[in-house]
Amino acid sequence: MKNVEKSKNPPKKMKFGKSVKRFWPFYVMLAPGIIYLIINNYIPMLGLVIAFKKIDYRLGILKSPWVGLSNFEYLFKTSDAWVITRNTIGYNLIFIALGTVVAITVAILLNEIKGIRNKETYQTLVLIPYLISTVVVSYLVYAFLSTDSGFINNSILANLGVDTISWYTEKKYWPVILVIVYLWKSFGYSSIIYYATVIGIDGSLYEAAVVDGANRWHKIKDIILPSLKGTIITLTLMSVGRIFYSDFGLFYQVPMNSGPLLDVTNTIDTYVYRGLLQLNDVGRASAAGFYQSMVGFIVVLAANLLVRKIDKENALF
Amino acid sequence: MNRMKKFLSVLLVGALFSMALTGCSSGTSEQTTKDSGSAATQMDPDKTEQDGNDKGSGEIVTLKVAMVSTSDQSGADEVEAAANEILKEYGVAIDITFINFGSWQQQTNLLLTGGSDSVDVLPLLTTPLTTYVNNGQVLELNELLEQYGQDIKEQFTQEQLNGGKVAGKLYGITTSRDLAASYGIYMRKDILEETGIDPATISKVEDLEEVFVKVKELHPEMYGLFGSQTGSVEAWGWDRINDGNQLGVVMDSGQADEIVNLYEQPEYETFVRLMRDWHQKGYIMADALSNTETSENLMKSGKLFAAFNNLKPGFAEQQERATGYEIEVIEFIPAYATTQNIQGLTWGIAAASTHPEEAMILLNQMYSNPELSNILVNGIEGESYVYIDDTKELIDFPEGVDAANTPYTNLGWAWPNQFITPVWSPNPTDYWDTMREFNETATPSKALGFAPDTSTITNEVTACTNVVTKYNYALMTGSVDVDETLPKFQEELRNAGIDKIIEEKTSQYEQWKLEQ
Repeated sequence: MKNVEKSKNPPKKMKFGKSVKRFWPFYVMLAPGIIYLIINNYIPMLGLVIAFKKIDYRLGILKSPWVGLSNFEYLFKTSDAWVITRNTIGYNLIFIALGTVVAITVAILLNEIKGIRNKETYQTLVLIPYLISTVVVSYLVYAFLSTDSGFINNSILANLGVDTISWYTEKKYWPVILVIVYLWKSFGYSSIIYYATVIGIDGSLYEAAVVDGANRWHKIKDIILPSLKGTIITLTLMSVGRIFYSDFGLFYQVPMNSGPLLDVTNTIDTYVYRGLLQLNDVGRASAAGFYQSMVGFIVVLAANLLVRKIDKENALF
Repeated sequence: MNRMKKFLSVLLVGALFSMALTGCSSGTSEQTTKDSGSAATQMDPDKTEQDGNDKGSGEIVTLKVAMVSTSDQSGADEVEAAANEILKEYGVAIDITFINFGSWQQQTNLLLTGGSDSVDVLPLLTTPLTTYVNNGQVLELNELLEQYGQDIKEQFTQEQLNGGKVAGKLYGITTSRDLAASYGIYMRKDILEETGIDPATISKVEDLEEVFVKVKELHPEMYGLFGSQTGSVEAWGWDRINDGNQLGVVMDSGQADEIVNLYEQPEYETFVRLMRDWHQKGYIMADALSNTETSENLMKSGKLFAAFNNLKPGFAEQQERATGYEIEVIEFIPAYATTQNIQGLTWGIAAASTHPEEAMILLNQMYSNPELSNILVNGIEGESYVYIDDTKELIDFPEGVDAANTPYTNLGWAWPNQFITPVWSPNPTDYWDTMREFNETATPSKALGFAPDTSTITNEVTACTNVVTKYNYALMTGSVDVDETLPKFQEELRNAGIDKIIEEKTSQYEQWKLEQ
């Protein structure tokens, strides 16, 4: 009876000092990583002040005058402000949604492959697009879409009897093109992460399901997807934190920096680059970065709060 | 046994930890030498930075010089040593760091922020001079020039010197090169002869159409006219007042009286309509907008017939060397000089320099001392060049050396004064004189020397820059329909604030005119 009494008390959290004393080898191993993180990620945060100053190199960063929020104005005053924000967020939402679906599908397919040799071959193949530099990708796309020498115009459209399309000056096709290029390039990386979760599912669950009369589709719907829930939420929350950022290579180089396409390919990052290249204005560029990361931070907090309300276990923090 | 294990594990952890730390420290010392050494050369190990406070005592002040390069300057050390032999009697020495064009903009930004890596003297290019001035990165030179730079003043006309002024104060001294430009077209002479059309009959841009028709007949696989991501031509007969985006220009080779919106001018519309017509007829390369190749490379591989370009003396010979074909040049717009020609490349002194007077003494020598300039521009005699005539006016590569493997590439236009150095064959011996004459007979734009300060209108400039990027190059290469696109372009510019920009630049211009 006494033992039962004792087990009713929840274990107290160990005090920090005591913890260090007892587990000091672990803290020692942790130290280099933490020091690196502080030096590389936290100390540079002091540089955020640049976003609020007009930098005069003669005075140095610390003594340059404060200008309040005026470095942020150019992002909002322009008639393009709505366009670039819409593009950045819109594309990111589509990327997250479709990216997750494609990655999970591929992960499940990888799981179905019989034979370890085949599995490994496909895992490698699937990762290759991710490793190719975006500049190379932009020329691969050019090989397809070039007006006079591209594959699509010459081999596909010509055979169908359709007029050649000047891809790089017609903006209506590009949302689709960019989504396809993005999916092609990044599905490999995320699918490997999902795949790692899938292979961790206990095999006995499948056997129990078969006994209950489950077919393949039921197995996917009722075993694999629920097991992936945690991973999906974690990866999505992480992507959502970057919702105001965009892959510069994808939006600047793949469309070959073509002017007529700017309405659908201009994102916050490319807008800042194009606008400030000649002006060389560190303050304004920092303001843009600050704006993107601040909003991303708030969005992650909000999303996490939402997830907490729905399903406490899976929230990030 | 347990104690042994425990002891060993403690030892291992300690070793791991200290390895991580040592990795850290040696990494940083590597970093500093790498940063100050940069991409191409090693620092001369004998040079030590001395605190030359008293010039009279014979102490030599070492000044850091940054220089742009297009290749690996393996002969840089010898050049530096030879230069320092000459500079000894002036109390200065130089430590040159060559930085590749590709990383020039970022590296120089770092080098100009001060600190022990800071540079003293450098050429100012790619980033506009006005930007450097607004950021406080370069020193005002008026007084220094008067005190220590008298010989520099003799190398240029007052107008050319004025080109380096921003808001009335001198910040950069231009270099000796083509300080004006005329505009025209260059084409493959052999194909032009095939068409049977006499170049003398071509006097207007529109006359080129019959040439293109014939070329397309004879060589359907070639591109008639060049186009690229940056359009087909720039500054076609107007002064863009130091602005690459041409937000407010002075028309008529800079002779008009006021600053206007280029994109609403009839000349612009006529030109882009012509380009659109030619594009649809197939004379301009179809995917011009996506093209990142240079016209020289395309012509060299036999795919291109002609390209618009800005011209200067010796241009045809230069293109012949670059493409390997004989070139015919036709000029449409005679030479005129704008602020951009002069201010586009100047030499200046960093604001963070601790030895500004010595820096000006050094510049004075670089501009006026023929021996020093020859070493800096051409390298060491016998290694990167040899004299081919007795009067020592012409030079060429030594045996076995060519443009690809020379230890020291000539960047004469980028050094302060190539006019006092020998001429490279096959250019004629009076090449520099021809160039000087070209510079001085070119019609100076009325706005020559005026460089607007855009710090109060940066928001509008950023917005307008984006609009120009969206439409200008597409229109200039004829890639989009003019009736649809031009009105949209003009409207979006107005929404982005082009009128405010022109108003601001006009009021500064009027102010500047009064002060002349």
